[in-house]
Amino acid sequence: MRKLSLIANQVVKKNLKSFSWWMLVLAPLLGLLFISGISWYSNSTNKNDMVAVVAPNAITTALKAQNNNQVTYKSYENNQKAQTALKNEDVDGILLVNLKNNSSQLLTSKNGDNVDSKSIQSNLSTINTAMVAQSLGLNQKQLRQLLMTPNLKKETVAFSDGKMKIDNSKSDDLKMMLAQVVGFAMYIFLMSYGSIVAQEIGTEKGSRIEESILTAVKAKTQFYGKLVGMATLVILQLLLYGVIALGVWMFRDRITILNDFVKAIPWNQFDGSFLLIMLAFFIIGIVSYTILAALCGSLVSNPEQVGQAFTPILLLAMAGYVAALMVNEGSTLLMSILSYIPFISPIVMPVRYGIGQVGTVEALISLGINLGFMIVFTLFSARAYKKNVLIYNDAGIFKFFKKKK
Amino acid sequence: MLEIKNVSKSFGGNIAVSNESFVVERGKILGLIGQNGAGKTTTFRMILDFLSPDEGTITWNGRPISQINRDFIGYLPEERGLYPKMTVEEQILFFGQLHGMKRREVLSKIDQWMDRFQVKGSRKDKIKNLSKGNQQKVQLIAALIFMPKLAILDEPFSGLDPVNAGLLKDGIRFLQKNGTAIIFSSHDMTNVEDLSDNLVMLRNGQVVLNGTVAEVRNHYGDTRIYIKNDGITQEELQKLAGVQAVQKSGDRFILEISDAAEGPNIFKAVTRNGFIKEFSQQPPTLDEIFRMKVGDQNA
Repeated sequence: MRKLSLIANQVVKKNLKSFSWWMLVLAPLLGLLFISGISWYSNSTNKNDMVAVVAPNAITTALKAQNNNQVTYKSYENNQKAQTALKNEDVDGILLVNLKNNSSQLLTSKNGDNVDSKSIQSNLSTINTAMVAQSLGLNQKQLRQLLMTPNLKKETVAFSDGKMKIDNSKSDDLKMMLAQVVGFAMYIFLMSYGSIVAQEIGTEKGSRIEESILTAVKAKTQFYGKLVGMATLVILQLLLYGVIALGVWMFRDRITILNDFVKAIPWNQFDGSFLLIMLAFFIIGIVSYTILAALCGSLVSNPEQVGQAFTPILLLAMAGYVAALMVNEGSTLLMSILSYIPFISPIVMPVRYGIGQVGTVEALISLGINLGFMIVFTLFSARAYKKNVLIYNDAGIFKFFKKKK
Repeated sequence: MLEIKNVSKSFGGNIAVSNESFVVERGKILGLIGQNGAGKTTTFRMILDFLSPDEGTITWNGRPISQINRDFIGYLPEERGLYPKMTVEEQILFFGQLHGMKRREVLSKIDQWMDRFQVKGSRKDKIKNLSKGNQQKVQLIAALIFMPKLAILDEPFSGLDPVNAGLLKDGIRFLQKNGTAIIFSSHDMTNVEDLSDNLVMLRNGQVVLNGTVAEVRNHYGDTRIYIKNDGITQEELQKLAGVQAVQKSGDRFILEISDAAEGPNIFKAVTRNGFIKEFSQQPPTLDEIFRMKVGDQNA
């Protein structure tokens, strides 16, 4: 146990000092920071358009009544005064309304800011509708009825035991987005942790330091020590995110940008089971890929072969990611099968669960299969690692696999 | 005590080691010699349980080595490997702790061992910043700092200059005094002769020599005579009775004689005119014996 913790400790320490691990941890945060920054910047620079209106009083009043975040209307007696205001950059544009031929003109300066013409068009339409209604002698109630948008309610249904049931909790855009983000994050994390382990073991074996280590430690102890070390790193990473999230939550009232960020998240749409299942797949996925990477890393004969050893991991993770991207195409037989295959399902299943293609039971079955496989695969890999880790075969990894058959 | 008894190992159809037997006792140094591919590293790997013998037993104090915790063994592999990004201290600490030492204990001994091997650099230096020779010394310290009961050193002298080779010899003798059983391989017979209490020579996986250095050499008899005499020529020496071959090495002659009993007659012949600078009758050197054994499959 002492030796296992020494190995695990060394894995943790070494990675905590490495640039690559910190990049892995900080990249999603930097990405989030970048997106938030852009969003904040675009919000802060999105100024209100000031439009000079040259129109009959009734129109000007009606337009002013519609002042909003996008557009503010200001009345001018004539075109000349409005042009002076535009020239002096007091306004961003001039709106000329001609009632006679029911046409309007929006003038904007070549060097000035862009003016949101869609908002102005919409405001003019509203006024036009009200004027037409008035000329037709419609009262307020009739006008409301005329303007009312028919209600379209979209619902997703699922068939269970031949009966159709409405599934109210699924197919939210947020979940879809979250699931896609998880799919991508899984792909990146699985590959990154896989790469760290394959690199570590491959380098140790290739540089022959493995022989010195295995003089004092059994190969299986070393194998499990490395897994514990990697699991510790994953937990540290999640803890770090947790601490940062807690910090954001605690300081949201003091820092405006944090407050805006927290408010932008639709908390009411999250449900606990979705997050828990995603987390479970995330952890099982990373552990499975770490084991596979350790196994592949133990097959190299020199550090140059580490890239070769990483290929199976890369291919599996890519297959999972591509499948995750195709989830939107609908629930096909292939997708159903992939949802239960270890290494691929940890990427595919959370996405399918996220958009409601499968229920909790299916997700739990897939989790169970993955967990069972992970246990068997760990035991198998520990034995294979013991056999492989001191065997040097110059023919290369793929020939080694061939030979093992 | 390490005992290797009737051990054999094959890889496919190739016999790596065949019916090998020898012992290494506490506080003794055994030199394992043999050509490349003779089975030395395979022997080491079987002792370390990296490989299992097809036949025979390997025991430590009577217990099968595969069934015991082997962290009492200090091993310096033939191909050197270290963590290049680790500092000297971290490297030694890791291996010291793996071999059962307490952290504090390792830290308190690092300076002492770095002085013993005169490592140039600080304990906080990264391994990759050290010279190759100093990296080798750090690896040696990592393998020995816990004072192993059994030390296995595969080609420890390779790449070391004479000064560092001398330091390494002192280090090995230090371990010996502390009761460590030491087994090392080397192609430099001077080092083997200088250090070894016993030596074993492997040829094609078979033990062809086994005994103390003196026993092995004496087995061949005092059939070499070293002469330094300005008044005699190579041709004259060649004509003496019992002389098989004469070699000139610098300002001395080395005579190979058929029978050690011819020594006194040759002495009389070369000293007939009085004083000579050197006359020394000895058994063949280890280097010569090695060459003879390698060259003569039936020797």
